[in-house]
Amino acid sequence: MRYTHNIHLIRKRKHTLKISLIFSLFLLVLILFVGFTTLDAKLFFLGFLESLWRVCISYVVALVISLLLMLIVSSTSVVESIFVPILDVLQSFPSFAFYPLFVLWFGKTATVTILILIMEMIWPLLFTVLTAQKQIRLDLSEAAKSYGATGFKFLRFVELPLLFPALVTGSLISWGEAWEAIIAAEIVVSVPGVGTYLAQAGQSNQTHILIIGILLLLLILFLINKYLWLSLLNLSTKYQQE
Amino acid sequence: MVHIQHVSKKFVIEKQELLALADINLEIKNNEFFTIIGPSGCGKSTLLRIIAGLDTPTEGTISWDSEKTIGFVFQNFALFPFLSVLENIEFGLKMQGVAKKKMREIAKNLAEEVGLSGYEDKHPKELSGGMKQRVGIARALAIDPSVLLLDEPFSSLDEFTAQTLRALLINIWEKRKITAILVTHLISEAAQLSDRIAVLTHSPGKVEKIIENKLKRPRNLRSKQVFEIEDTLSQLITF
Repeated sequence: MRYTHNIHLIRKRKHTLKISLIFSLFLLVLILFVGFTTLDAKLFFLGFLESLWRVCISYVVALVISLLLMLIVSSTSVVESIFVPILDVLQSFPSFAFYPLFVLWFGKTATVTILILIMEMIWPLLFTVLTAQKQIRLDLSEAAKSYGATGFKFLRFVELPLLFPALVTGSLISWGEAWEAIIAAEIVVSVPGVGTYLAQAGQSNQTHILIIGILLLLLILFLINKYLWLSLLNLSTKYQQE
Repeated sequence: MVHIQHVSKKFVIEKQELLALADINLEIKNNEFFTIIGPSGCGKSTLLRIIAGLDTPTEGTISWDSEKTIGFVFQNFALFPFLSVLENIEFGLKMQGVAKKKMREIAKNLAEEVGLSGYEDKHPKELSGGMKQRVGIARALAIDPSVLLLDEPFSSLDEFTAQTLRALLINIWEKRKITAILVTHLISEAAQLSDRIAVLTHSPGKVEKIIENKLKRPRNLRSKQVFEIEDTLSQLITF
């Protein structure tokens, strides 16, 4: 339910405009009355870039794994009936439960945060794509087949374009989950990043820095959502089946 | 010529066996306009898909006397939503690896032939049903087919549009000397277009009778002879 709600919000252009306005006003007030200068901008942005980098790597890995899993799951109905319940169980497993295991293997390194992120990001991608794959119209795949698109050609020229809207939706959700997870993961593993920066501000009782940091982070993520994912979402309507 | 011999098709739906087609025997000649007519659910679309190789018969064989290229036209058009009109027409050629320039040339000519001039760069969503089926027909013609298989191609269109496209289809069929196999549930459509009409019975689908239609083209749809054929068909088809 939460997912569909999110997407619904982002789709409304007027709504996004309103949110931008509210954000800008809020930031303006903070800058004027609290003092933006107290935030160490350099540290904040370096931390943010590090976190962004981790989210991006994890996203690419999760995307590739999801597509591979989709190909495996959809290969035959027998494989599907075996794999789907397994994936369902894995999906409901909290990613942070793997934390001790990952630390055992990799120590308290950034790799651990990336692994946790991947575990978090795979599921929305995989399940939206699997659902969309089931919804590909039979006559479209028959048309593809009868005009010579079989095997890899079908995947490349028909299936992936038809799955593009679902991939964007899945990406949007997993992107959101990733930012939720990375803040926590960085704090727990204690590697430098935007999460650790905020945690440190909190620990040294610099509440105003913490608040500005959180708002800034929200604003940046909001802008990325609006300009990257929203435009992809708009583009993807072209790919939707009728 | 295509020989359809002892073709049967069984489906298993929720552990229940359903015989969709029972011992179908047909011989369709080259350059013939052959129609398969029957009530909905008689398995006529399944038969067409078996002829196309999109489905396999439970029993029986389909054999062709010579090399064949099949162009399939779908009831709900089955156009790729992410491709433009020209790209949809080019699809089969692209899969064959035809050079881009040549592909474009063929597609442009076909777009003009079927009445899609000015719509080349539109996407399926921006087209009316009639325009969509023009794309469907052009896509089938692009691969230079020897056989055109048409699965209720005009059923989802309004009658005026359908009539225009029927005229277009007959035109194309006469000009290109191809074999056309049409599946329909519309009696007047069958009488208007076909050389021969196979009437299928309902569940399981069996060939009830094959009707010859030797009327000269262009056919006058209000003529006595056409009405007679329609009448014969009406009596044979049990809904």
